[in-house]
Amino acid sequence: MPKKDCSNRIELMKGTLDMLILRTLLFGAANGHEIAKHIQRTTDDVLQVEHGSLYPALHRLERRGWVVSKWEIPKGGKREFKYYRLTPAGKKQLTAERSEWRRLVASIGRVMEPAGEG
Amino acid sequence: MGIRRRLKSWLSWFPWYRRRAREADLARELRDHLELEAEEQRAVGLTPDEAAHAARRALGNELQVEEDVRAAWGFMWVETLLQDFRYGLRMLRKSPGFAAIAILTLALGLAANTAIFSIVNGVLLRPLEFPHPSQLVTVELAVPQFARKFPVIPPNPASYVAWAHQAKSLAGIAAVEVGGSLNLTGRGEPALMNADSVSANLLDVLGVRLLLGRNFSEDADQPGRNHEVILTNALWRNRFHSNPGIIGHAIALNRIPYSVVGVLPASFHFFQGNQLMSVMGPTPKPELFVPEVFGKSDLAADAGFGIAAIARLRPGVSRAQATAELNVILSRLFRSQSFPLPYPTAVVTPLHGMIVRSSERGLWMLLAAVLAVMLIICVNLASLILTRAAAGEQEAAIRSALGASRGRLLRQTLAETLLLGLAGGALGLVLARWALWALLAMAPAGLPRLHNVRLDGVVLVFTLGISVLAGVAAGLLGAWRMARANPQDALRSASTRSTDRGAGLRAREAMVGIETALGAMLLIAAGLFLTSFAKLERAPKGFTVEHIVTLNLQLPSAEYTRREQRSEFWRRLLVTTAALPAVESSAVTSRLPPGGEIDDDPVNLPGDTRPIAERPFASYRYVSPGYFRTLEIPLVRGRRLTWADADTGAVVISANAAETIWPGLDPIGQKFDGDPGVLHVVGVVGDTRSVTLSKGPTPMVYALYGGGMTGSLIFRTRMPGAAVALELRRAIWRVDSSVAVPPVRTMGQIVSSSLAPRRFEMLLTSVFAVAALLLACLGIYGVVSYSVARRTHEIGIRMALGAQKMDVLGRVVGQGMMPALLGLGTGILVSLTLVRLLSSLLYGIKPTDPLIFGAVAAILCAVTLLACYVPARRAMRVDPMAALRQE
Repeated sequence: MPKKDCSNRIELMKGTLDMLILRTLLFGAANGHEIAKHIQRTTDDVLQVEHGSLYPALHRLERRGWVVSKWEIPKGGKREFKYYRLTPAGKKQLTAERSEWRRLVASIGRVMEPAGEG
Repeated sequence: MGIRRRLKSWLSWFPWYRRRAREADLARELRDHLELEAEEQRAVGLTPDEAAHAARRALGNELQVEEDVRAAWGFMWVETLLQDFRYGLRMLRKSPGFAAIAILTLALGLAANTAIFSIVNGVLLRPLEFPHPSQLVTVELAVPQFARKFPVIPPNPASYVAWAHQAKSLAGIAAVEVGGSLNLTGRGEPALMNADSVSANLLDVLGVRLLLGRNFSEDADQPGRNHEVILTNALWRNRFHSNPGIIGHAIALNRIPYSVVGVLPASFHFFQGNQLMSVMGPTPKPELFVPEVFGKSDLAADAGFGIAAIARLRPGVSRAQATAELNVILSRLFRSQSFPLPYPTAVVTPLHGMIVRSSERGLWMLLAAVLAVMLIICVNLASLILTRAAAGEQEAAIRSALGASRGRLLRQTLAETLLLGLAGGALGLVLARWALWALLAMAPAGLPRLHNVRLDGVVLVFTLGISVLAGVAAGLLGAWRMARANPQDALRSASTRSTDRGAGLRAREAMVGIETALGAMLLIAAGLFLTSFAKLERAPKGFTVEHIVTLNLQLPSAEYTRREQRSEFWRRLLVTTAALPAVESSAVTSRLPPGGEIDDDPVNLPGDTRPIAERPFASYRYVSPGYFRTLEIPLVRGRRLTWADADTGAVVISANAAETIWPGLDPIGQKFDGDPGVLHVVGVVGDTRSVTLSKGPTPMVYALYGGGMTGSLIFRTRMPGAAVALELRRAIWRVDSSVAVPPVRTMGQIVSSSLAPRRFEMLLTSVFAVAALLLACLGIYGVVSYSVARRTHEIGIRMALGAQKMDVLGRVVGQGMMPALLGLGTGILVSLTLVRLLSSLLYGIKPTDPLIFGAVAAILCAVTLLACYVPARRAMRVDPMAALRQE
């Protein structure tokens, strides 16, 4: 596979993945595995998220201050897991990314399905 | 908060603890993930083993994930850097032989570089140790018509006084009359002190504060008020036992009491006369300063062009502005005294540049040479790394298949070579102390500002920079190849079996080329210097050097006020010393050869209306009749001088003076206007290099030595200098016990010290060239033998297919020689353009001398041929069967 294509895709995925993670955490704290499963379930397994790519993304978001992490014992559980939680800054970022995403989708939509065609 | 937590939060201030905590955290997080995923898979119905496997598959490359997370932490680059260095250390420990050789060669190269650079730094780069040193300048004169003979001449008292009174662009200007000497008496044996007569403001212009006492009083340059003296620190320490009570006391100089007004600090270093003045021969540094007094006759506009002028520009004034103003003042002065046109103009030179002008080029050349050696060392190291990189290609491939990025592989090699460079630098600094010590011991005494040379901060930065650069350069060359390793190719084929492939081979060939080119350049420079030095040393001087002992004397002016007294002293002295059994003959002269251009003056023929500058010039010497016999200067025509010639104007001239002044005529009996009145030629003697050894013989005019205050005695003796010195001293004190007798110098020592700068350059360049040759040779040997080792299999096949041993030999040697020959060609071409820079440092040889270039080419060819032949012979001995069986 040509190298250039490969790097392009990763670049695209990174931003998207960050947004998906933030959106998932909007429902409340979750650990890495739960986030992975949630993304997979809600997209009906269309988006195959390689679990491994989740953790670099989570640590990156944490470093930017959009999420915080804490080791907690879940309700009814027996042992600690590392839970991630959205920060106010993370919420703001999600809003920004969502509106950016909408603009992107809308503009791509206008190209793909011009109003006249319908 | 529990104690453990508190401890944790306290420990978290330490980066290493935070890192370990984070690492543990990440490992646990990933382990949790895998467990949760496996649990889920088991719930779907997989066996525990299958479930664990599926969980791993879903996670992806775990090492890669960890690396990516670490990258997300951000501060990790420090961490990975440390890791890389640890890896580098591990690699070096694994191959201690390689590390030792690399560090040692780097250290030797860096030591040489550090030592040479500290000289360049101390002499050329460090500003003069006076306040605002960039404002300090020297002022000399240029006479356009003289330009061919003398680009500049020293100013005279008249111009100095005019500048001192009128120049607004100068904060101050001081006059220095260099090279004087005074008899210090009344304290044990009389001693001859080197003394500069200076204007009272010299120390103010330089901005020097005295250690003790005060500066000269302001009217100290007035006759009768000038009996003040300022001592240098060394003289005060050695002669006056650092006694502070000396201030205000009188010491006897030439038997006149001089009041000691001040003592200079140890940090004050003045200059030799030849460093301050363009036309001056070597004169020693002063040990004391006395005020200069200009008499009425000194102040004529056309008299006394022989002082040095040091000025300080006003802040903000440029040299050009100052020059313009000084020129206006000069033309006013010369017009007022109806000096013949054209008027001299001022030449303003930065003081630092003036001081170092004669050593500058040689020092830069030496730095370039030693840097070239360093470059060869780097290339050799790079070639070693490349060889090892090729051997480690599989390891690199495996690591890159496991997820190590190319950048990381490159960084690791860089870290390794950087470690080598830094280790070499550290060891090099230790060695540099000795190297510098040795260099300073052999440095010519005339090299200015040597007291400034030390391993200081700037030198350390230079060494660190060069070590890092060497490490990076060597590493980049080697790692570049490694990072290009294609994992699949390398894994598929065992690299030792392959023939040498494109990029690696080309890189190694380029290295051989660079080494040979640099080696050729250094050898050419060394060859030129060696030949030039040998020619200069063998050049006929026109006078004998062997068995000649010399002595400079100075008469005490208080007792020898009349000329007849002085003349009587010298004659008696010559008679007394000539009677000594050890002395074969003796003579006295106004200046010992090689004495510089300071005594060059025009020969004014009767009726010659040409401007002075266009008249013939000769160097004037005053000598006793025995001078020619003592120095074995042959008589060509006429007769030698006798004591009976006193005050008759009889002179003897050199053969080349006769040819240039009276071509085709009989010089005997010719008259001309010289220094003391009308002179007439009574004899012609052989040509001599009495002015400078490095130029052809100068036309000379010898007049009879009259009654000078100073004189240089010359003795021909079969005894060693030290033995005859004692006898001479006793003889001199029999004539006058108050005359200071300085240590004798043999003519051999004088000649040798005048050749010292060239010897220094020649020796060092030769050492560097030989080092370069050896290093280049080793480099070529390494490359060729590596290539042979790698191609054992291929050579085996060729031989199995019927290739003859000689074919194999020819092929290997040819492949090794090709880049070497290309490098040689390049080196010669580059040298052809660069050697022009050396022409001012050479004597009697053109910088593009074909013989030198040819010899260097031949030497390099022979040496590289040998370096290729030894490993090639190994290739010839390859047993085809053994090579094939390796498969």
